[in-house]
Amino acid sequence: MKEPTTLEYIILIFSCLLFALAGLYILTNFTRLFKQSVRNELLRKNIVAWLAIFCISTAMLPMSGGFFYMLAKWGWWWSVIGQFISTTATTLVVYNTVRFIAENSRFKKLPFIQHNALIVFSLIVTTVAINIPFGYILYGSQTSYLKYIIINSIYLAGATGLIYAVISYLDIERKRKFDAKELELSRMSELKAKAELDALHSKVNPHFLYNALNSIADLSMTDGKKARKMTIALADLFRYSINYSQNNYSTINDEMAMTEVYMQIEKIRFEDQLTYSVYVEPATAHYLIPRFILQPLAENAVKHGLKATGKLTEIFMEVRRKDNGVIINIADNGPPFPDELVPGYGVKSVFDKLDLLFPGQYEIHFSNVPRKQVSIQINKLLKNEPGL
Amino acid sequence: MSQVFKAIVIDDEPAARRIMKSLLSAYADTVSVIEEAGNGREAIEKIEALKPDLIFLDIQMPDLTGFEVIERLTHKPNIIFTTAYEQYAIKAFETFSIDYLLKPVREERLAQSIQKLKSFGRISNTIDVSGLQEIIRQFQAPQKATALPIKTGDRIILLRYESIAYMEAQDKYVYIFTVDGTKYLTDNSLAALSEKLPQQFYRIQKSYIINKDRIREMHRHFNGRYLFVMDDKVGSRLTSGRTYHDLIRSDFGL
Repeated sequence: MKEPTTLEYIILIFSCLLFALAGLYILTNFTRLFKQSVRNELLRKNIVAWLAIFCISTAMLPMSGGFFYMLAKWGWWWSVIGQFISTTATTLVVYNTVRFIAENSRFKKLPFIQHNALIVFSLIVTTVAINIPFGYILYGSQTSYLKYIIINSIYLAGATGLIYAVISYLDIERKRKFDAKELELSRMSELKAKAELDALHSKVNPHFLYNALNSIADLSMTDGKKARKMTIALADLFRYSINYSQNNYSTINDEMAMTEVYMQIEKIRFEDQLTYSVYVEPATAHYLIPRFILQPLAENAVKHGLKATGKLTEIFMEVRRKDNGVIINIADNGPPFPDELVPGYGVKSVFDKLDLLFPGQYEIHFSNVPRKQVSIQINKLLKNEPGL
Repeated sequence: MSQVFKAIVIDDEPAARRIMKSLLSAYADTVSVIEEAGNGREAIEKIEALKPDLIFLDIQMPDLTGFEVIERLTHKPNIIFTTAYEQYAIKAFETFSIDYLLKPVREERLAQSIQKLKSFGRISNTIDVSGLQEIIRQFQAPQKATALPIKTGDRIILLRYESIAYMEAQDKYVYIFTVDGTKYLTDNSLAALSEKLPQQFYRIQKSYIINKDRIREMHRHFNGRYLFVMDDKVGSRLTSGRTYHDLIRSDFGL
């Protein structure tokens, strides 16, 4: 065999480096390559693995004398074909075996060290198993070469396996840190949402409180029974609004009951000017909605209803099943909603609560026909379970 | 013999009127309640018809506020305001030294007002309603609109500003695209919307208004245009108009 010239050595080293670079590039982008063009995941992974193995084994050819031996024995054409064949065999057997062990959920359950030891072991075994017949084809039964191939395979496969184990260890560490951070973030945003909700809860319209207290003061002199009834109703309403149990949600039943308490207070205040009726479809009663969203809307309805002076203000509230959720309608017989509607405090707080608790799953609309009403549609049924 | 003031009690709550009348019955030699009214319009009618010397006027009533009632009166009686909560109104009263009673009304406080009426024959100078309302406006944080009402058929939907990504004009209509990818149609023109909307809504092209708070990325595009990637579900990509180049550049500090 002719000794190569210096230039040939340089070209050889250079091309090996290029192959090594290409191989590393393919490895780092392993999951991304051909994502658009090849839909089948198994096929895609095998193609990428083939390319990676081809590049890296080509880069390492000078390390094992086999290629030059082959070159001298069979010439360029057959040597390249041999390289293709060995790459294909390695991909099919080694890569897929290792992939199976690395990804199969049964093996994944093993402790980290055992799992990775198994991966390294299978890598070595399959690599040796593949290389022995190739070595045999190439060198015949010259045992010293065969021994060399086996040692070489063990060395390469072992090194690759260890690198893989280190990388996956680092990956797991990174993920663990990331998860911890993520968890912290989500806990923080939950806390924030909670704080926001608390702030929203505590804001019961002070006008209403003063007006109710004023009514009680007045009634206490003229109608003791009514004053007592109103005091009790006000106590119930504020107990509910203070929300000792810190629930963000309430059952539709509870919400409606509290809204009725509110309506009773207003009915005492406005006597024969106000009447109301309530309907809750029994199938909806136990689903959850944000706490304290009905009362602000009922308060608006009362306010708007009373605007039409000289007639009885009628408020109608109902909850029904609709589509895959519930719809809440609150109607009054006051003047119609203007086209240029500006939401007040009550509507804003309802929006905020729904945004926090049913993001993207609700709709609020205002209509004037067939009757004047505000509707909240929540497209999700939330069961009453502990912890909500 | 001092004068007896003919009075009207105006309050939207029946109980409040009753109690005021019963409190006033202790001063029958000074005040005689001749009538009561349960809302603003009724109050104006009765005041104009009966020309009382004194009114007890609630501020917050469903149809008209107490101030609106005064503005529409041709007959100007003495006024004692009554209010349960209006903190801004209270500040304004104090600025103009106008007599007012906080509800629930305390007997001693009412006695003071009656005493004043007895000794001066009147409560205060004529009330400068517009000045009063100006002060209240100053105290009161202006109610900022936070949502855009969209009329679709018989319904009005409120789109919160923060949920709007951008708007696109098509023919006579405007499509509003929300962050979650829903599309709403409104028959307002883009120019009309642009006038109504707050600062954060920004015209980048003849037919686009975007929500500045919902820009994810902004890229320099060729030919003096900018590419805006919106922070909505689909990451909508909008290019600005060439004529808006200089404006965008200075407004975004580029």
